[in-house]
Amino acid sequence: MTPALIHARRLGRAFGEGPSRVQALVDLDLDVEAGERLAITGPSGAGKSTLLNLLGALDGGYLGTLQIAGAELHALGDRQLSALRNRTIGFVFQSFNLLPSLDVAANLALPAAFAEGGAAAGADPSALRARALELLARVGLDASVAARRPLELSGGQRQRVALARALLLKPALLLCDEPTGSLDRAHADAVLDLFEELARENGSALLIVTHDPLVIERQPRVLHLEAGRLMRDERRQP
Amino acid sequence: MRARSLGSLVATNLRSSPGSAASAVLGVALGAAFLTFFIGLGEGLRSRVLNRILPANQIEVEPRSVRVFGVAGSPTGGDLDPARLRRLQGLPGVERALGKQRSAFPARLWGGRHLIGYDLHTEAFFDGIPDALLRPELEAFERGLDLGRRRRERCDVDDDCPAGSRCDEGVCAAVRWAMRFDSRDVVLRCASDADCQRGDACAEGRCLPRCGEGDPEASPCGAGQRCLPATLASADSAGDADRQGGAPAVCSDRCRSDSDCHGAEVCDAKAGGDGLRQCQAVRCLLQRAEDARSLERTAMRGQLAEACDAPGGLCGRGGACAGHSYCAADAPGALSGRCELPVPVVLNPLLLEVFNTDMAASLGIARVAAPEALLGVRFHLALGDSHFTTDAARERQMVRQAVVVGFSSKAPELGVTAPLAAVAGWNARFSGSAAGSRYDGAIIETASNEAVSATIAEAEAMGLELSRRSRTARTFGTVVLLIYLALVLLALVVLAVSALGIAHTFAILVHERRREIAVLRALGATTRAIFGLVLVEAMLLGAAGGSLGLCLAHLAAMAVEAAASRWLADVPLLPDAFFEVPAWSYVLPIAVGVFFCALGAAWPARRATRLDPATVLSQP
Repeated sequence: MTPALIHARRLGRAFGEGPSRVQALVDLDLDVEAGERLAITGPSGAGKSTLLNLLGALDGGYLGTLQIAGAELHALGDRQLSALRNRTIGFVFQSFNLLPSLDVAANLALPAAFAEGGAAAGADPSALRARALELLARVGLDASVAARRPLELSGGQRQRVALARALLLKPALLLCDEPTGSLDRAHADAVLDLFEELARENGSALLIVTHDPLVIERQPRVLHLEAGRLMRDERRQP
Repeated sequence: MRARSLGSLVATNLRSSPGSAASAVLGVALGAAFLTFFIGLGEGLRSRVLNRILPANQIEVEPRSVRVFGVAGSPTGGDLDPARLRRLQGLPGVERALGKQRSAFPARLWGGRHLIGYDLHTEAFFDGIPDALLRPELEAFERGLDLGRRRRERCDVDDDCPAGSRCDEGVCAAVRWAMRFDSRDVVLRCASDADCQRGDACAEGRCLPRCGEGDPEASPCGAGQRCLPATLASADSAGDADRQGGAPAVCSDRCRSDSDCHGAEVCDAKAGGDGLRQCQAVRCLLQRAEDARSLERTAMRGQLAEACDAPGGLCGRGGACAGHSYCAADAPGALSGRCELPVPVVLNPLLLEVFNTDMAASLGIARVAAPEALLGVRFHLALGDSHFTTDAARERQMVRQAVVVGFSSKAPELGVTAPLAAVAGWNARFSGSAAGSRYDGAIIETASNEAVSATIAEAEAMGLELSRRSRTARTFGTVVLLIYLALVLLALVVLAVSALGIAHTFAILVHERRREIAVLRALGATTRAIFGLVLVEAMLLGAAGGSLGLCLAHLAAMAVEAAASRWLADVPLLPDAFFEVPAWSYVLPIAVGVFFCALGAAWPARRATRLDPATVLSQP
């Protein structure tokens, strides 16, 4: 039996010490299969971002068990964790987090720059460049955008560049934080279509943290968090 | 992380923070410039000033003497004879030990008429130094004068050419004066063995090394020499009954042509059984006794003479002493003599300075700014004579010519330096053969600077002590080294302060870029890659700062050199440059800039690796 892409048991995360200690996540059990799509929702302070950081291997201070692609994160060193983030996880941040000093092409190529020992490390730079341009086209951007700086682009365009960057190394898990937060309805629909389509093409699991009902209703599985606890794991028929 | 990607990111970061980069580079550049400047100056002082007095691997020792109120008295450590010199030579770490002698006879000199309009007269003191010790320094001095690059002017006689050159086939050519400091040009005349130093015998009217089995004073003959009985070697004394039988054998020069002979001697026309001939002095006659004391070209060359039956034994045959030779009278007031080359002498630069700063003004004569003006200047030596004393052995006095062939700090401050062979020969002539083979000091050259201390200790155990010159040089060397180290330390302090500036700058940069760093971590950058990113950026700034500092230091050095050549032009014999730039000093400021920048950026780089990406990315 193939192990789940994400396997969490009694996953917990607390911040602070003593009286000021805050339990951001409490005893969460979760399994996510490869290629699965789900939304994580809940009110502010419910623990959505904390869970996203834990699943993105950005935060190692958790309690319980957390395995991603079969690897227990507590057992990994810095180099292996970095490789996991680089090769297995793709991030799309709410504020895009494109490096303003680099042009779009350089931003797109960043994940490849940190690839060590994997396919991307040995990949021909021209092949990576071709892949970046292809992704740029897939997210609906002209190749001329490649030479522009992020600040010269609209919010929607930056969102698409961030998505293309996250998919460059074909990650098994695509984590998105409020991807439609800054978009109007029409653009949000188009972006969601794109996310779902590309995730499907890559075979990536898509995990979206959102408040947006539109996003929630499109996902076949929804996790409801409240006060750091998983209140509901709702599965729907597509 | 790939080097290319790292380079691209670093370059982008540098471009994005030009102000911070510029301030960091300037700080490092200042420190690197100080360091390079002081190293150049320190090396220049060491090699161009200190090493001229006495190189670091050379010491000068002399027999220990009693000092009263700092003034050296009689030697108490015994004579420094050839046997003791050989012991010094045999010490571990000693490359060579060369003896030197001071003159042990009165002498006076006069000359300068052609240079300043009238002759200066003074007592003369001599130092005899082996050719090998002085020749490299003289050559370096001559190279500094750059005589060879002078414009080639047409000429008829030597006087048409500027100082330091001579007329050669119608064109003025630079004279290699350093090569003239050669004991081969010194011929020691004698009337009997008593005029020669120990180990020499008088034959052919000159002192020649003794040779032959059974002679305790004998030494092996050199190449081109043959061991002959003195009576056979000497045409002058061939009929001397006293020399028959017990006459010692001497090393006689054998020749095929004049170029095989020393000094102004020529290869005799008559060939021996081996096809080789004998070098012989060229006899000459002076018109008047005063001509022996004249530097007038026509008078001093005399008239060539040959033996004949006329009263006095010498008859003229026309012509004059050839080339640079002059007719050296056999005795004061004598009209007959032999063609000889003037004795090459070297002066201390201080003499020229004393002349320019004190004498020229008080005598109302022009200063001699260029040392090359003195090269080739001839003057007279009255050996055995004095302004102050009456020498008992007046019959041994001689009048000879000397020629200035260079300047050296190894020459005594008030005196002239001649080849050791000349001074030793004169000492033997005027003060007895023992005086000719006793050294007043020895210059010891060690294989390395580290061997110097041990050699000094060994020499002191042998009853020797450092000479005043050597003590002064070592003290001066220590002072220069301390100043050098202090200045280098100051430069390092400036660099350390700049490293603090770098640390501050990069702490701010890391704080400003914390979100970028967190994104890079999220995209797969290891902590090592983040550390490298910050460190490489700092090191590049260090390399840029070091390079800029190197350029600034060189510009400053050029400015100092230009100012010195403009404002200190009248000071004679200053070093041709104050700065010395060893090859490593081109690399050092860059390496030091890189090191201090890396040092300064290490802490901010470590902080960058400890940024929590989850926390940073959660912030709005």
